[in-house]
Formats: sequence, C-alpha cells, structure tokens
Amino acid sequence: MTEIDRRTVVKGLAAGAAGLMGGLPGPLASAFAAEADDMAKLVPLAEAAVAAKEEPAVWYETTATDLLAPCIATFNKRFPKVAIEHVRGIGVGDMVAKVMQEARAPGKSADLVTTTADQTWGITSRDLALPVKWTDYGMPAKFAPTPYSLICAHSLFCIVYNTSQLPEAEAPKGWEDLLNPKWKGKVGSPAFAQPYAGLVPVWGEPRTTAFVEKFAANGPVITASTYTLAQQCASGELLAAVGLNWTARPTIQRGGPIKILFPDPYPLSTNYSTLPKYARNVNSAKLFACWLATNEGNRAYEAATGRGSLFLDTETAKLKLPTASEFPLDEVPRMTKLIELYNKILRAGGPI
Amino acid sequence: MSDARFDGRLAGALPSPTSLRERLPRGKTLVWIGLSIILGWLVVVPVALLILSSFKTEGFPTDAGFTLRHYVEAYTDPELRVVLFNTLVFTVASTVSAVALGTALAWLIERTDVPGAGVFRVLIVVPMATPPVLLATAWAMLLSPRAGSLNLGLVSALGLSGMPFNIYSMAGMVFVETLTIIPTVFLMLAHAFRNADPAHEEAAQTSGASPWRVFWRVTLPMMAPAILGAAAFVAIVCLVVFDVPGTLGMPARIFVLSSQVYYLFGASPSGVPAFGQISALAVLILACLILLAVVYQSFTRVSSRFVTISGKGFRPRVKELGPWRWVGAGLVSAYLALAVVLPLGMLVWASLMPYLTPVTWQNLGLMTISNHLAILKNPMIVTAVVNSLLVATIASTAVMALAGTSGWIIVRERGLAGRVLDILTFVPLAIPGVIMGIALTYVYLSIPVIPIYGTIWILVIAYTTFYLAYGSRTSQSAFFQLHRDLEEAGLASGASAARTHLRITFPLVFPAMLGIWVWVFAHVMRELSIALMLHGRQNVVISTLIWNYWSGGDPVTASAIGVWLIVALTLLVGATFALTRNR
Repeated sequence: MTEIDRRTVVKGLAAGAAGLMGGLPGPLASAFAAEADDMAKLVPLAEAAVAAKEEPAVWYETTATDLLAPCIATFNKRFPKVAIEHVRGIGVGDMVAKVMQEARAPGKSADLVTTTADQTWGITSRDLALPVKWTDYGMPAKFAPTPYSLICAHSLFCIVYNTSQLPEAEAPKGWEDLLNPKWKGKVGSPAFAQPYAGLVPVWGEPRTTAFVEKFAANGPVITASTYTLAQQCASGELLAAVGLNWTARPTIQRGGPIKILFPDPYPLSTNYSTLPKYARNVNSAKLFACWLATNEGNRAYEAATGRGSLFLDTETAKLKLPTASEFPLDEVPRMTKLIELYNKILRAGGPI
Repeated sequence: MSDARFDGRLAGALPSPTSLRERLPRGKTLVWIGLSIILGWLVVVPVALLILSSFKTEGFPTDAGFTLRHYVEAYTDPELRVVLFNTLVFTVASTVSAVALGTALAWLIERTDVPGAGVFRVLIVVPMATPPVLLATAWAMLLSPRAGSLNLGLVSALGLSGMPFNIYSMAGMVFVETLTIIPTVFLMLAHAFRNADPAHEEAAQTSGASPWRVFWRVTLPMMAPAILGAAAFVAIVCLVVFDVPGTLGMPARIFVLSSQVYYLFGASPSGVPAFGQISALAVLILACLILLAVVYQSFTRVSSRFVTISGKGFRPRVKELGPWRWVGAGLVSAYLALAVVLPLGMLVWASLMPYLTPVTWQNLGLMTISNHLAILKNPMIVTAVVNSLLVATIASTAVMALAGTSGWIIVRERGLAGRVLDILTFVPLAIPGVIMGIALTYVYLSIPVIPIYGTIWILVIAYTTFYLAYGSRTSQSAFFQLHRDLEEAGLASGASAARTHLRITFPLVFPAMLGIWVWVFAHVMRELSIALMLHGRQNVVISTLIWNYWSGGDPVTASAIGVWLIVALTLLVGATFALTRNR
C-alpha cells in the first residue's frame, strides 16, 4: 500500500468513526450499530458453552481484575450461565510470552487474550491463534480484519498538559510545539516509542524520524508509564506530556488540573481479542469476545478500563478527533522495527 | 575438640572418640544429600533454564536450535559500556555507603549506650517494610526538580534562586538505595554485634591499645565475616534491583543493568520481550555473583578466626560513649528522619490526596480519606491479604529452615560439599525476577502432576528460592560466631545430633533465625516483580494489588495500601524484637 493509499484508508476509517460519534449515523455507522446490538446471534454460543459444560473461560487482559469485575458482572446479567475468569497480564509482551509457553507445555490456561496490535501479531504470526468466523456471530466484517482477531477497543495517543501552570493560550497545540526550546526538560514522554512510530502512516518515515530526533534532543523526561506522566503533569512536575486518553482519565476524574488534546494526526492503537489455538473453553471465549464488541459489552468495558471502540456507541467515539494514524495489522513488523529505532533515539537524546 | 574443656565427670560418660567422629559425618552427609536435592530443584533448574534460554532463538528454553545472537546483540550494544559504568558506580557507591552506615548504626544500637536503642532497633527496619517503588516515589515527590515539596520548602525558607536538589540523578539513586538497604545491613550485623565476645577487645585494651585501635584491629576483624557477607549480599542486590533505578534513573536516562533488563522486557520488536538478551545479561550478573561468592569464601576460609561465642559465658559489653551518646542518637535519628519520617509522611500525605500533589497549605483543602475507604471496598482485598500472609509465612519459614541447615553445614564443612551448598544458596539472587517467573512458569506448566501454576504455591517456591541468599548469608555469619565446642560438648555428653542442635545450637542462633524469618516475611509481603510474572487465577497478593492501583493511574490509593502495609509490618517487627530482646 502506498503512503497516500494508506492515509486515505486511515482517514476514511476515522471519518466513518467520527460520523458515528458525532450523532450523524452514516451507512457504515448504522450497520455497525445494528449488527453489534444483535445479541440473538450470540445465544447459540452461550447454549453451546453450557451444553459442553465448559469451565470458566480464562481471559488475559492488562487491566486490574477488580476494575474489570463490573464488566464481567454485566456480561453475566446477559449470560448468567457462562463464566469468565480474568487474569491480568502485566503488558509489554508478557501475555504473548505466556501464550507461547502455554502452547508448548502440557499445562494450559488462557482461552482469550485481549491486547494491542503488536502483541496480537506476536500470537498470530507464530500460528498460535485459533481462526474464527466472527461474522457468523453477527460481528461486522470490519471488526475482524483477520480471521484470528476481533477489534475490542481503541487507545488514542494525545498530549496532556497542566492547566494551572499553562493557560490555554500557552498550551501546546500540536507535535511541533513540543520541539520549542522553552519546553526543554519540562515535557514527559513514554520510554517506549509507540506513539511516535504511530505517526508514520500519516507523516511518513523521514518526517517522523526527524521529529523524534528533535524531540529527543529537547530533553523530554522519559517514564515507563503514561499513567505516571499524567500524574506528574497534575502535580506540576511536568508541564505537558505525551500520553493516552484513558491513562489520563483517572487523574482528570479525581480533579487533577490537567487537560488532554488530540494533535493532528493522533496515533491510534487498536486492541484485539484473540483465542489461542489451545483454548479449551472455546464457546465461552468466543461469546465473551463478541459480547465485548457489542454496544452493551463495549460500554461496560469502557467504563472499567477507559478504552472504548470508535466503531460503537461509546464515550471514546463521542470525542472530537482529528486525523487518526495507525499501522494496519499486516504492517506491524515494520511498526515494531520503527519503535525499536525510535526507542534508541529517545534514549540517546538525539540522532543515533 | 579441646581436651582442656573436659572435666573428669564428663569424660567418664563419653562415648569413644571413634563413634563420635562416625556419628557426625553420617548425619551431615544425609542432611547434605537432602539439602542438595531440594536446592538442586529450587536453584539448579531455574539457573539451568536461564543459561539455556540465553542460547535459544527467542529466549525460551523450548525454542528449537541454538544461537549466540543474544550475546552478540547484548554485549556489542554501544550503550552497554555506559550501562556497565553506571552500574558499577551505583553498585559500589550504594554498597559502600549502606554497609558503612548500616555497620555504624548496628554498632551504635547494639554495642553502645546510645539513648533510645530499643525504639531505634524497631524503627530502623521500618524502611524494609516499605515497597521500594513507593519509597522512591515518595522521595521523587520530596526532591523532584520542579515540584518537590522539600525542594520548594528549602527554596522558600532559605530564599534560594533554584531548587537545591534533583532526585533524578545518580546521586539521588544512590541516596535512596542506601536508605532502602541499610535495614538489611543492620539486621545482618545486629546479631553479630550483639553476640560478640568482648574478651578480645578487653584483652587489647588491657594491653594498652587505644579505643580506635581496638575498633580497627579487633572489633572490625572480628565482625569481618558478617560485614563481608552483608557487603557481598548488598552488592548483588544493588546489581539487580530495579525499583529505585527505574523510578529515579530512567527519567534522566541513567540506565543500569537492571533497568536495561526492564528496558529489554518492554522493547519487544518480535512481539515478545527480548528474553534472550535478558538471559545473556543475567549470565553476566551470575558470573559477578559467583566471583563475589568465591572471594567471600576465600576470605572466610579460616572460620575459627571469627568465633565469638564459645562455651564460656559472657555478657556483651556496652561501650559507654559519654556525651558522644547524644551525637550517636542524633545520627540514628537523622537516618530515621530521612528513611522513615519524611518518605512515610509523604506517603501518608499522598494517601490523603485525590491525586499526586505537592505539600502546600492550599492543597490541605483537598484532603480526603476516600483512598483508604476504597481499599476496604475492593472485593479482592481479603483474598490478597490472606494469600500474602500464607505465602510470606510459608516462604519465610522454608527459607529459615533451609538457610539454617545449609548455613550450619557450610560453616562446619569447609570442603567442596560446603562450597557447593554455599554457591547453590547464593546464585538465585542473580536471577532477575522476570527470568525466575519464566523459568518457573515453564517448569510447572510442563509438570501437570504438580498443578501449582497460577496458585500461591508457585509463589512460595519462587520466594523460597529467591530469598535463600539472604538467609544463607545471615545464618552463616551466626554460625561463624558459634564455636563448635558447644555442639561437641552436647554430643560428648551422649545427646543425639538432633537433640544437640535442638537444645544447644538452635537456641543460640534463634535470634538470627528469627531475623531471617522477619526479613523474608517483610520482603515477600512487598515483592512485586516475581508476583507479577507468576500472577495467575488464584494468587493475587497485596503487592499485586498495590501494583493494580499504581499501574491503573491511582498511585494515591497505592500509597494508602503502602501506609497500612508499613504499619502492619512495623508492628510485626516490633513484636519480634520485643520477643528476642532478652535472648
């Protein structure tokens, strides 16, 4: 796919999502909403799970178990006889590692894994995922870009800034503002360069690389967690930081003096649900993955995690967003190579 | 055995020397075999998997084929030279400062008439109960270069033009790590100082040596095994610790080996962490550790030089400091202010705030107890507390038993058998938590007849293995001080080896063993990296609950749990010291 083609697709996708969220349901949006609400097509899965006397399906996901409990409770109101047991993954490849180990050893555990594109690719590229015809269960084809994974939610990279120290007029408006020398040492960045690699589909590699080099040279404070960056902005330790919409949310909800803005373009990261090949409680796992991709399930998931789908009737979808930028699943290898390069640039504090 | 110790009455009841010699080695051999099997399973399996993983294509022991790629990538990385230099500076500076200060504090509290020693003894180990990531964060809130509360206070009070301190620096890392490690050094040395026979010091003084000369020529050499053991242990801890370098070093791009391992864990170009490179770096840590262990062994080869408890009764001599005792009390208080009062105060403040915010009068209005109430509403809190208590109790008891038994054999059996056990009990410290997690996950997924994957038992095994090193160092230093005449007198009186140990050896080393138990208990309660790697369906613990809040953008509730954890562990430590006060 050429640079222009890709940009067109990404913009089209974002435009479709924006239409859905703006209360202007186009043909694409209404089709998604109608299909995503069709619980009747999920009933056979629930019946099959009960008939097979399946054990609780083990769900690997990165959110704290206690936070996800209300989401599972909502699911059980709809499907009371199907049990889901959440096991928290600590992120950054941990879940792929566990799936790989479980696939090779006699003991098994996971039935469903919900994670980012690069980790999903880590599972599917190793032939560890179970193919599922998701459309058979009423899922729109757009939700399942490959036979292995179903879109669950979207994470949106953004800029977080302190409102008590930065009046609206002085706040950064876009990526280039972060290069201003007046921000030196006062801006935070995640230690890992996913948001910057995520700019490449729209900006292209040369422009993005030049940006990352200049940004790194401007001495950003690097921290492993975007949650921490949001907190540091609230405390006044940082004036602004590159972050994620849902990791800034807890601080905002608690009254922290921060705001988020979505620069144009904003990097988008899609989360997918995937069944490992060795899953034992297949019907329960499929059912839960599909339910998460319905309006009801996605709202419950969003309430628990802050991450919602741009394709569904969620708070995330109601956001006013500029151009989205995201690598498609089949280009994840390229994305990870870029992340590796940009990690090094960030760490070196300039060109390498 | 010293014939001079026998009186006629005792000699009449003696079994023949031949039967004595036969009885002891046979018992030792059996114990040695049993220990070797247990330690072999606990230690050799993960270490072997670690080494194997470093040669595998994706860093998993089950990968097909072998490769040297990870070594090439890890060791030719141009950043590695900087990382190694940083690691050296961090490790040496933290070790030297922690051992020097920990030794000074142990001496002041155990061997001098410093006022308030009893209270100090309890308070000094409170930082041990603080999860290091919370301690580091508390110090970041105090001394960060833009919003640090202490920095702001100093600027305001002294009229400075800029912030005087920056905690995000190598000096900041060393400072906080030193505060974290001192309680461990103290616990490793307190028993040795308490039980040091003053006869040698008195003899030196009688011969006209000055107090300074007595300290350098007698006291310090007498404490050498304990101090060296502590130094070796602390050096390795500083080599592998992540919390402090991760929290305070990474933001300023100061990477050490442990943060490099974390970085490789997070950087996953193939969709999985770079386990191969992590293992290759861990092999370097392992080599450093074995080198340290060998140096330590060679230094303590002549163990009889360090015996301080013999059959002769003595009362530990308390050195009277005169007016200097108030200076001593001031030094201990200064440490407590830095390691307990300021960071704990900051954690309490954070736990009462809706989000992280500096200490100001204005922010007092934000104060709330909702974070503390949120803990009680968490449906997992009861399970987490019960699991934590179970895991910590079982693991600390297992470490105490294994370390006590192995420590006795290592000290009494200076040959190859002792050395093998010594190395076996020391090397787990070199295995990064993430690698330990991978190894144990693989082992117990592969053995369905031991279905402990995802349960608290896999945590018990991991912690027992991981904390053996501390137990082993501490128990060895206790046994070094114990003259073998005491055991041989029991055997010579016709008691069985088991009875001799139960009635003579164990009571004498009981305080040290209890110290090990408390140390391991507290560290298990707060340990995170292994708990996260082995986190499964049925084994949520308090540290993972803290992490849940922390990583879920709620550090203030994490601070609230931390505060209660510190309070509970402080009470435990206080009760333990009260229990052993007169022993």
